[in-house]
Amino acid sequence: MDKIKILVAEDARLIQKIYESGLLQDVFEIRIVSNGENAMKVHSAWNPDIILLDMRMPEMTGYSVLKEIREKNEDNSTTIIMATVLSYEDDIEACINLGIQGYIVKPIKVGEIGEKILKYYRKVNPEKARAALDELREARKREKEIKKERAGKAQKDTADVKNKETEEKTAEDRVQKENSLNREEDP
Amino acid sequence: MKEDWGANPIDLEEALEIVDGDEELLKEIYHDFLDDYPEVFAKIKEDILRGDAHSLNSSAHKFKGMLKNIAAITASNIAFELEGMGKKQDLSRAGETLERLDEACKGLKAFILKCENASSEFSIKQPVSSTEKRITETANILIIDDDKMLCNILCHHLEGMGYAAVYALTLKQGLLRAASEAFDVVFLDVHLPDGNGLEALPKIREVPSTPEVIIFTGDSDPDGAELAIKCGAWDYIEKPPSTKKMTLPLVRALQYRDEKKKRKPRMSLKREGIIGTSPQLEACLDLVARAVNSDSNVLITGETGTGKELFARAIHQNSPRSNKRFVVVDCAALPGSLVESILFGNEKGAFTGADRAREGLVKQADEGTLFLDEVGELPFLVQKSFLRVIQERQFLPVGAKREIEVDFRLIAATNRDLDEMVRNDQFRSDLLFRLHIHKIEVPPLRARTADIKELAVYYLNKLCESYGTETKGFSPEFLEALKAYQWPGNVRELFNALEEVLSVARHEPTLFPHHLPTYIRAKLARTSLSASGGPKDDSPSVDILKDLAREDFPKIIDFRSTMERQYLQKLMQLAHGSKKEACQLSGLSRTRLFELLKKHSIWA
Repeated sequence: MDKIKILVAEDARLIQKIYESGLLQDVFEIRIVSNGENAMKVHSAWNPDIILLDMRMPEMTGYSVLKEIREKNEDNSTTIIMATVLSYEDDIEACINLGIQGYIVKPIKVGEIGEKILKYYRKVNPEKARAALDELREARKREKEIKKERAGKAQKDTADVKNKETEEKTAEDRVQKENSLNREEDP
Repeated sequence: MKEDWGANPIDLEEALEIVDGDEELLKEIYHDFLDDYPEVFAKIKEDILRGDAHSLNSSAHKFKGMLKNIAAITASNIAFELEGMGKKQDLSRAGETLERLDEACKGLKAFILKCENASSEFSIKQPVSSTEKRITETANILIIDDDKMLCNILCHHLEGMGYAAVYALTLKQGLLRAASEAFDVVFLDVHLPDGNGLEALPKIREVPSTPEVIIFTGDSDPDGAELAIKCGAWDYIEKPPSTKKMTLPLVRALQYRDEKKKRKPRMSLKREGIIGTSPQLEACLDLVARAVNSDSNVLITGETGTGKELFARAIHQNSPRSNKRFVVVDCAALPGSLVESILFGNEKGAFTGADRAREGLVKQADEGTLFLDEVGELPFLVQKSFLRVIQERQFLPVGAKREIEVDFRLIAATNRDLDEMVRNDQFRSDLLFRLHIHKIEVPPLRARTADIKELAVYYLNKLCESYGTETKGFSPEFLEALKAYQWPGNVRELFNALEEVLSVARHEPTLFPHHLPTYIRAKLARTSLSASGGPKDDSPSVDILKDLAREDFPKIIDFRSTMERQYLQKLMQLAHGSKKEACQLSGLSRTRLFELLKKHSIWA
């Protein structure tokens, strides 16, 4: 099955990274842009399944992007999800009126973001969403194992280095001691 | 208290949950935060200064989102307060709140850096940590303040933090100590029994150990603080000083010094063809050296022909980016329809005629330096796209599906008054704000006449070499003439004139004033005539009249109107927009001032 194409529009670098880590490449194909105008351009050129829009971005807000997309595409085929920091509810309300499939609240969490998005995508394409969810859980498991293995190896390496250092130190001490003993005996 | 230093500014449990236990990622996003937050913070500050509530609402919201995503609870709450103020359009307390946000961010930064040391909490490793440790061991601090008790307490605290601290109670003593011992940081009070600390500041900065100076300003006097920074102080602390207030500026100053020490000593600035030794030029080169040591944006201003591009090249050549490209964008020569494609590149087939993909100039400057020449001519619409590139260091080529990241150092140059252009809505204030982090003003040639001889010798020798003729001698009169002329076209005009001189005097061994181009000789003759003859006038001289030819001579009514307008503009600038002050300065009545301002639509 084709991967689910997600366009992420978010201008803060650190949050972009969290999306990147959470939306695993085994399951999703993602493109990240950092402002609304580019989101519009990539949307029309790439035709993603899902758009994740940050509510406030420089120049063209998520809301304006949403509005423009909805006005252009009458079939409402793209799943649009808003990312927001909850504060003033009227923002979300306006978006819901324009037809968003869902919204997620910051902080975005690596472990949750994929599932949250798929939950909303299920309404549009249940079959693909379910398959992707299984795939995602598998992929996350795999990733965790790899990380664990890597961490274990790193720990072992550090331990090895320490052992080696201790051995060397002991050997050095021994030589020094012997030397000083020899000196005492010399005269 | 909310911003208590004892409380963790970050909820670590939440932070680890955000990254799903991935410490590497956590480390990365905190680094991103440290890199990116100053810009977002600056935007918020700018919004508050401009009183733009709507924009503040947005920028504070943005910041809140970032802070939430690194689990910085306290700071994100303060950003939330600011956002609310923007929403309610009530900025009356925004200044204070911004200060609290600043404090919280500093605390956050210190905390992140501290966490790198103590890997028990989370293991962010950055080279700075070792730096911090090292400087703690060796830093020497001098406090110059006449309050003995305060000095004792501060010394005690500083020693407790692992620094060596001593104090002096008078300026004289302080200067003596600073000159005879090596200090890293000097805390300096402004009001001392035997003098003003600010006046002594330059002397302290010049002692062999060149300490960083942090000023204690009294009376919460904002001008004093500004003056302190202008005089070269590292930072200022409002009185009464406390350890809490002192710690961060101190740590940052020490970090800065340590980084400065670590930097390879630069033997001398590669001058890249910048000729001269006049104090004006040296001062300018000092600024170049300062710009070289950072990676921030630079704005070079100066009249046409002063060699702004040379200075830009010098910055590039002396910077760590010197082995990468120096890409020049002549903003005045960008063709309207293709601007975006030239700057940002395009995919094949992005528009009619795009028969192949093109790499934009911005991308070509990756890892190198991008030089925007005549930035004042950048079309208003492109300014917006550019602002975004500067902010995000990412852009979308025309017709592309993926944004490209770039890493360049930006240098811009202009001979226009960008502040004035901003006032006339011809240049975006936010772009200007980001451009002039370092500002270098290249002096006009007439302000550095001491360099004219050296410049002329250098260029003539170069010309002679390329023409294969023998080098020429200068008659004293020739040099005098060069120095007397005003050079409105600056070094470029000088070089052009010398080329003309050489073509006239190709076979003559010595150069005389009559070899100079006719227009220069004519102007010199007029100047000397008006200088020797004619009644002396004590009223302020109006230079423009001197250069007016018969055919350009204006009607008196036009002339008066132009002058009036210029006078008013300068007046309002000097009075910082205060009409009361403007009346005092000009001797105009309030009604008359209003009338005139209205007539020239200076407030429009």
